[in-house]
Amino acid sequence: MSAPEKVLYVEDDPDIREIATLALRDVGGFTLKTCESGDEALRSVQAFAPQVILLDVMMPGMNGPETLAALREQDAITDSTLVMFMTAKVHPDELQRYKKMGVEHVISKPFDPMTLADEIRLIWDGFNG
Amino acid sequence: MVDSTRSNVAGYRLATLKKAYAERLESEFRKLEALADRLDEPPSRNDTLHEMHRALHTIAGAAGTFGFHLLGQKARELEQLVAKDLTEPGEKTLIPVAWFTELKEALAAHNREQSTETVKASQQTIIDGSPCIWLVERDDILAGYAQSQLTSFGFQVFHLDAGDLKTTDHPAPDLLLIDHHAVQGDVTERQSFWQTLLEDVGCPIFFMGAEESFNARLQAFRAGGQGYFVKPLDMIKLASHISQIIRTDDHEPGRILIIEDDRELAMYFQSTLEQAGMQVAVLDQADQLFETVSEFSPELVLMDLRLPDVTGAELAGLLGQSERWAHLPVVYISAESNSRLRNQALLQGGDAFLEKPVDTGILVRLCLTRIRKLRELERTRNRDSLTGLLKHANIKEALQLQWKLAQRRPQTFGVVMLDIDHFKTVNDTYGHVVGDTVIAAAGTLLRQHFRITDKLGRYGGEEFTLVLPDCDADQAWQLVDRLRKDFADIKFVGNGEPFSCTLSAGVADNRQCPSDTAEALLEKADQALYRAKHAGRNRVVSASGLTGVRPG
Repeated sequence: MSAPEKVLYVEDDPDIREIATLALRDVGGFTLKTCESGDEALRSVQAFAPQVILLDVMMPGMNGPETLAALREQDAITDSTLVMFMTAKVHPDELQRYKKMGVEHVISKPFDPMTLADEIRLIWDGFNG
Repeated sequence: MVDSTRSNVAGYRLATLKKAYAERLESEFRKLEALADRLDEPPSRNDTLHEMHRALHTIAGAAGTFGFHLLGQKARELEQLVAKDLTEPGEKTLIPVAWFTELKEALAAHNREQSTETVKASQQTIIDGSPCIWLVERDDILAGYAQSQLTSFGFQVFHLDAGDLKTTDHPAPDLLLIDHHAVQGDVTERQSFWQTLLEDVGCPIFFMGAEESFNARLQAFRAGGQGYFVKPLDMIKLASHISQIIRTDDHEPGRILIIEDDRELAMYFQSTLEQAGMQVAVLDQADQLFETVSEFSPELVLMDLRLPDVTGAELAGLLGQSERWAHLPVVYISAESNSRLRNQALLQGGDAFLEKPVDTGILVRLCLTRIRKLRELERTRNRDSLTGLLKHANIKEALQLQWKLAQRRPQTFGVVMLDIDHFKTVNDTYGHVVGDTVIAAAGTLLRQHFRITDKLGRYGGEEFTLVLPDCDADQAWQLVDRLRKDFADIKFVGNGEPFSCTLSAGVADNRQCPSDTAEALLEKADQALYRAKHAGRNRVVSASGLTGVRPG
């Protein structure tokens, strides 16, 4: 099991993209690609080949779950890809719904930029363990 | 994983991003405000609510990441309210009118915390037996903030639920600080809730609330509050108010001068008032009036309207003509049934009439309330608003009084001149607001450190003067040196960076210049201060030269 290097982060809010870049690239040391929409993610996922995909749930146009479905359609996600949602609302029913879609892990917003990378690594270890 | 250089750079970028986000919040607020205005237009109400929900959701999810935790939480609460309104359209009044103010407050509280005004003191400044405050506040985050700030000023703070006030085993409070909305219900319900709850509490009560209005103040007053503070709270002001009310509120017995030629009646009043905890002096010869008042310094005069050779009204008139005693409350005792004479007496000065036979219950209560009012008045007149200490003229007067007192009844007293080191640099580097914070903190710390009988004054700028009765230069040195250490432990924040300040002081006592004047004594303390500065600052120097020029 190797540590993840490439993280794809899909988030419509430019300020959050910026601080996530700080959290994941500068603090966390990941190779990061950010996308501002589900569409952009669909276009760039093949070339980037991420090990971890972070999807904001609430986005205009295609939301997080819809983006995930479309990514699967494209065969862009394999068994070894870790997919996580990021959301400000973590209700138990919602978690249940995400689980049915094959997403076990949700990162709740607001996240702490200084520990986000560690959190992802922990989940990654569990995912591969 | 995170090496220090990387995290330093990250910290810097984080600060930049926070700043950018704070700017964005302003435009988000404008948007929310516009949406709130549109809420009353029925056809689009649902769309508006959806937009509001989205905007609040975004803030709830992002604010915390940028460090605006309180704001994020408030946005989350409101988001849930809006969501409820959307799913249960029948009930339209769910969104509190004050919601927008609450959001703004949350942001303001954050800015204040981040800004240069924050004072963080180390735990060391908490002295055992320091005043105890019970804090009742629904909002845990605000409570935590208030708790840490008040603790840094030397108070013990316990955070309680309104429901636990009667059952808690925390030490008895010196003051209650209560969120007026900590209980639900309408105005009358709240009022009676607090009244019943607080009936047994023997300490002052301050209420806090979001609303700045006459009605809010009136409600707090009716519920038994001695003060009402509008949120967002200015912690430095609040700490200063609290320490003033705890330190001065009737700890010192009221001083009452009785002028009465009927000795038996005078003795009867004297014992009644003394039993109620007051100090009493009796004067039976009117011509000794001015000597007696200047020695005894009464806070209320109780006198018979008819005295030999002079009337009470004339004495009140005489007192009214002297600047020092013009505000002294005067209560007449009289069997006078002639209303014209009584009115005349009131017009010449004097505040109230008690008819013989005097109801002693009324007499005691009247004295207590008048004295409390006088003390409040003197506090605002004589005290520097920033520090709550005596103003320049008043500390000099206190020194003169102490000097005269020691001439009559020999006793040793100490005088201290104290100055914050490099204060100009603080002002130049961090600005005057931070400078004021440093001065205010020094004032509050002084009040916490010294006795009620000590006279503490702001001599000017960053310079302080203390007059310490029954205290020689060596004892004064010890006390001031402890203060010096505690002051150096206070962490201030300016331009986002923590810094601390030191102080220098010179001490002297009246034995060192017994035949001189009060001014000469002050000058001695000032010279010692000069030596402390010259020897490298952050130290206390005694004018006697025996208690050393010790390094800090």
